[in-house]
Amino acid sequence: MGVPFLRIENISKSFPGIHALDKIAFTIQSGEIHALVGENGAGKSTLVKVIGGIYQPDSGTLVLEGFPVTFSEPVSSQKAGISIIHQELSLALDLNVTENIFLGREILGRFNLVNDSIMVAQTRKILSRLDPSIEPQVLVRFLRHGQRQIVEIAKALSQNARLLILDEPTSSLTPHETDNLFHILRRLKKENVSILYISHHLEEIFQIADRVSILRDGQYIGTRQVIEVTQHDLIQMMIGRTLSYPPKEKKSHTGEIVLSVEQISFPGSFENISFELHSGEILGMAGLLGSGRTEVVRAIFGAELIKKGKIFLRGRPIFISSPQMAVELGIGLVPEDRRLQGLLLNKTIRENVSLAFLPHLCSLGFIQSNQEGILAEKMRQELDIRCSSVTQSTGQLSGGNQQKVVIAKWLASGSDILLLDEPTRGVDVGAKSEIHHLIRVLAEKGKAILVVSSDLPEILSLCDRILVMHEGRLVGEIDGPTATQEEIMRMATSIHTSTSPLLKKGEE
Amino acid sequence: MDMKTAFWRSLISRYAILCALLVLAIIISILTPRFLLPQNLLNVGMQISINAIISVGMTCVILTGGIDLSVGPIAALAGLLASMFVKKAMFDSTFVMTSIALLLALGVGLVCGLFNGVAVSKLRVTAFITTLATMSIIRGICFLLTNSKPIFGLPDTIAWIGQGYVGLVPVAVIVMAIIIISMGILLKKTRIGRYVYAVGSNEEVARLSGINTTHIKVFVYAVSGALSALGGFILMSRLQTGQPNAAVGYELQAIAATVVGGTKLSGGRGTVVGTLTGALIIGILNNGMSLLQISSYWQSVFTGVVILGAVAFNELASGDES
Ligand SMILES: Nc1ncnc2c1ncn2[C@@H]1O[C@H](COP(=O)(O)OP(=O)(O)OP(=O)(O)O)[C@@H](O)[C@H]1O
Ligand SMILES: [Mg+2]
Repeated sequence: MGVPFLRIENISKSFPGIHALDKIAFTIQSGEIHALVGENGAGKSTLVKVIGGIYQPDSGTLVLEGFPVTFSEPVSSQKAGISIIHQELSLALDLNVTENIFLGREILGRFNLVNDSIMVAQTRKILSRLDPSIEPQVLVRFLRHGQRQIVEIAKALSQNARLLILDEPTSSLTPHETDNLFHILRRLKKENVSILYISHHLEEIFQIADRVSILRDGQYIGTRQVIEVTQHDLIQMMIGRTLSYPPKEKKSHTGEIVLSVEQISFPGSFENISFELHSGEILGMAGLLGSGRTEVVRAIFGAELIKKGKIFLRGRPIFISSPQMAVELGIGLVPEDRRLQGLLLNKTIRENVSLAFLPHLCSLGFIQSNQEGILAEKMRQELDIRCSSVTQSTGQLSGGNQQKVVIAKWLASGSDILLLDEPTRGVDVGAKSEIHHLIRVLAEKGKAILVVSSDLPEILSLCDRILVMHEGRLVGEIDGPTATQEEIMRMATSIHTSTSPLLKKGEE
Repeated sequence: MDMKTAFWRSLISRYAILCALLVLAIIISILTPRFLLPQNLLNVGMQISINAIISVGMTCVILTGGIDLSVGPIAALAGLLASMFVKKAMFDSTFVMTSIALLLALGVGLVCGLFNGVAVSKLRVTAFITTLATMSIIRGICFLLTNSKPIFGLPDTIAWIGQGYVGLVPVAVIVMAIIIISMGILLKKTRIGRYVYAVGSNEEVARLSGINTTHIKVFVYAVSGALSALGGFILMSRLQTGQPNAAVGYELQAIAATVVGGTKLSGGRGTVVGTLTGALIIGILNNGMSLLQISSYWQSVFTGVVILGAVAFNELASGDES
């Protein structure tokens, strides 16, 4: 191999009280797909931000095609041909898809005016390979999280970069969209583009990457050829020990119906959705991006008001008019976007964890701060939230650890019905199995749980029953223990909705 | 950055504005030793008390990400109505009368604040526009009520809150202390206080956590209205006059004290103690410049410079948390 495209030489970076990166050194070749793995908080995103000129390293250098470079700002990194899809999406919500994709690189036409039609056409072309359902002129505000992720990917792809860095690009994509993305990445590789690929879905590494580098607690552990390692080896290098998966606990006995929705509709999002949720049950909801899953759970939570249909809570009809009412009725929602909907980023872990449970932590309106502290500490341990203390502000945590705080908040809320929208997005393998375990324990205690997830293995290993949505309609129900990925995907992509098995009410 | 620098950085960022206050006080006392005379210090307390009380309400509003431009007119209206009542009331110069006048003032402020709160949270008019409108409306009402003539000849009993002393300490300073302590506790120790910060940090997150964000917003504007009225009452009592054009420009002073005290205009961050510090900085500066016989035009220039400097300094000291 010739001169590597990028050589990372002993890069170190510290934040108050923590060495996020400690002498990291590895190389990325031209035309290589290089995976980067590590637990939550290992330092992956920090390294990406150093390469992208967002953080300045405390020491160490970056060598680009044999020449040392300093990226003092993001622009200089971009000019060097590096394009990054960050873990936390950074789109302007009030610009449309095209404007976001061409932000700062607008194509000018006559009289130096922005040439919209060309840009829209180009956007449509890029999106046609990823997700043709996204309209180039729709405001990003109206897109769901997964769709925003696709727009970020399109933006990075449109920059004709020589090194493309993707920090958990597939965290809320379904297998369908992920396949499309991989297709594009393989083609870019043929065009000699280098790719640095970060993901907690280890099986993806084996599908797409040539080599993989491992970080642990800010340390560089090593780089391997992907064909020479197993998933097991990777996990061991990531966490420094082997991980024992708790056995798949499946149980069939569920209690009475706690929540039942009948023919609820929200024009444009979903129509005539009916299902029942039992106490002690973990019900899964699968489907492609934009199939309306998120909208359904938001409607049940009162975040959006349904236009038709009925919701019954323990047999009584009820109109849930606000999230406040839902919370008072014992319903909790882990929302899909942790940064915009889940966390107060400038507040501490402690304040975030207690937020939905505060009424129970108060006496005469005063917060009992010792109890609050105990609760936060307990959740920190249960979910293994990596932080300097529970008084650290959540904005400083790594992505996966932020997600754990959102889960902690709703696990702590004591809700009887938990709606979890992509609960383990961005969470590493170890923590994910820990969270799955906690969810099962809650179900065993009689809580009713609805899990929306694009992560099919998660749905399969967790759920007693699986609902599949397609274009705003329920197209099927599968028994959890016997379900397969193929079956779910077939339903989720089904074009002939009318012929697919319709959900029968009360079917057990 | 190691733990030690981190520790010092956190300490500096937390107490930056207090340090600024100290530095300012030292400079002024060197320039004019008269500044440190107990009589002058109490005087400063008296001068800042009204602004500090109104600023505490402003802080609550700004913490939720809002703003209240109507505090000056509310203060004026409350003072006016109280003075008109006292003037009309026949059973003069009693404690009861003063109390009723005070309650009347607070009630008026509360109503105005509630109106602001409902308009902002229910009608979804932005806070700036809503309170800009009520600022104009209420000021107009003040002039209409009085035919733009001040109300003179108020009995001496009404002057106690604004001019009186308990021992050596001005009554207004005591009132200010009570307000600051109780609002400080409310914001830091109670559920409603926590929700105020939550709404200002991210309203959508607060809503999805089951918090009634409408109630919280109405609450802060109501507090701001009531505290403005209290400030207005003290002002009227100090002047022993009800004036329709009282408290002009108070909204800017209150905003200045709040932001100099470290509260972020975007909401979610700030403290009442910080606001008191901000009010003190501005108050001490004005007092010092008066003692030094600097012309009021220059005072205005310096005050602006200090506001700008203090906020920039705060921003620097609070570290690069972007
Ligand atoms: N701005 C910051 N201030 C303080 N600490 C930070 C900051 N950014 C990151 N850290 C800390 O640096 C460490 C590494 O974080 P980083 O985001 O790089 O992890 P990661 O490997 O990307 O994890 P994840 O898989 O959860 O995304 C974490 O312990 C995190 O708390
Ligand atoms: Mg990360």
